Amino acid sequence: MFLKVVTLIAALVVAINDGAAQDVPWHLGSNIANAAAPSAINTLNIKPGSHRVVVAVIDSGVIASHPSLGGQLLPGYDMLSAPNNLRGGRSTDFSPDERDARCGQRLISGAFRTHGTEVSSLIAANGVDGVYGVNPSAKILPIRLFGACSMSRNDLLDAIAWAAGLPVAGVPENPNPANIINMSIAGGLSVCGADLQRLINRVIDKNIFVVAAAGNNFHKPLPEPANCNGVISVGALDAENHIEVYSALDPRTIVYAPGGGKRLSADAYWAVNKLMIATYELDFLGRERSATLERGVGTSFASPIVAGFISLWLSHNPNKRPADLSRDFSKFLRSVDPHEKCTECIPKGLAASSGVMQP
Amino acid sequence: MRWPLIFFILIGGSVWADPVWHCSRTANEVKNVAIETQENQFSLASFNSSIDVIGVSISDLIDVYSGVVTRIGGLPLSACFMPSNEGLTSAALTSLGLQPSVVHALARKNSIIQSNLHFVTDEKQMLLCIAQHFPAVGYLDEPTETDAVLPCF
Repeated sequence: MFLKVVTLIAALVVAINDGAAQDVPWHLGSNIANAAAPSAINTLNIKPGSHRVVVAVIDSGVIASHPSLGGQLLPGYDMLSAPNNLRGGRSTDFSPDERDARCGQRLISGAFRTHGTEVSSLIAANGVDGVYGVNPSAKILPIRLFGACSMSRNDLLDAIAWAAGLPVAGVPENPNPANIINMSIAGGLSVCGADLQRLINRVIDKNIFVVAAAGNNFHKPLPEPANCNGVISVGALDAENHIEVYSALDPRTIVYAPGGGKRLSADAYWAVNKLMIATYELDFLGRERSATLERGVGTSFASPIVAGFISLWLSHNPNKRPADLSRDFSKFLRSVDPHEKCTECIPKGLAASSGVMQP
Repeated sequence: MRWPLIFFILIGGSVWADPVWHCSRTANEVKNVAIETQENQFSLASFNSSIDVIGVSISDLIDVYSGVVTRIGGLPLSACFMPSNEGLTSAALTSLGLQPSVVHALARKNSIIQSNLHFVTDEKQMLLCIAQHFPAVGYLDEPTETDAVLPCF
């Protein structure tokens, strides 16, 4: 009995200490020495630079009223064209489709509705309600490409072009061209199509960084757009710096970032191994309300962490170009254990240092 | 009448049976959308990519096998569970961070109180389960395609 009481008290003390140890998302690092998760990117004490960085989020749309995104959004665009757009066609309304929207008889999880909001929050959330983006000074350019219905390849090409400030027929000019384009999307062709590659080459020639999720295909090779040359494909790590089981596995993916997954057995605050995101949940009456939840899982969420990291670097070094990345980023890369199913892979994680601020 | 219509296409096999997630096929009527060729089949990266199946995310898989009520287009999502194939079940569920024994207990409870976790005993039943409990998810040791079920993820 005495032993049980002592064990209970010890467990409570550990729980209280854990709570006190961390009031920011684990993937950003920790203020307490040696307490950071092994895969944390350690940007917690890196203040953003003075230069504004625009990050386009090509996704399911963003719910602009979320408190964690207050002041962080630029005017975006809904690039989903008819007949796939349940609202009839393209417009300046970049909000997602309704929660239980259906495309004919096709059913889709309500999670699609909040995806773009969650991705955006990992890049630039303002800290309200405990959600911190990697770079709270970055501005999000929301571009909606996904709804309850599917999208067309032309919509994807137009979304990328518009994000980059290239002209798109029938769409007003984008007054805030992106410095970085994040695409937490996957699919298409197993080899990057010539149309997509041509466009990405044009975008990179404009010194715009293109970041894409490696995809959650359980260790299969990269889909589009991650498989296109010049795209920074991002795989997912757990908090302990191991490649997640759902992540695509391909030698072309070098950069990995926390993506969340199964709970870990370690006795640490980061063992939850889910990413803190700004999202929406349903109350007991079925009404949607804004929320902050530790539930992000997928390469969808690893990709914006890298986009946010690059934006932090650009906020100090605005003249850096995609071509500079391989040289300059070497000082922020750390080793990740290679996966037995991909002996040619050379996975690297990100870990910030004061070098982020240096030219 | 459904079984005679079902045909199996084994796309490939492997010595080591990694679990392959399977989802209910989308009903045939998807009106007013563009023709779906491979080059058009993109999805949000946390979701399965084919428009031919219900749209679910990794988080949905975790939730539904944890006993959390998960809705797809307003309908409750079902999960099929095959404890007799221990190796496959363990690989599938631990990849989601779940303990097979806990899911087993949940499924047993759900067999008493009608819910969304369903026991099956073999692969035939797994396919039937995914088909009958639309919308549903399950796992097999190789990609299998029927008129009601397709691999997803």
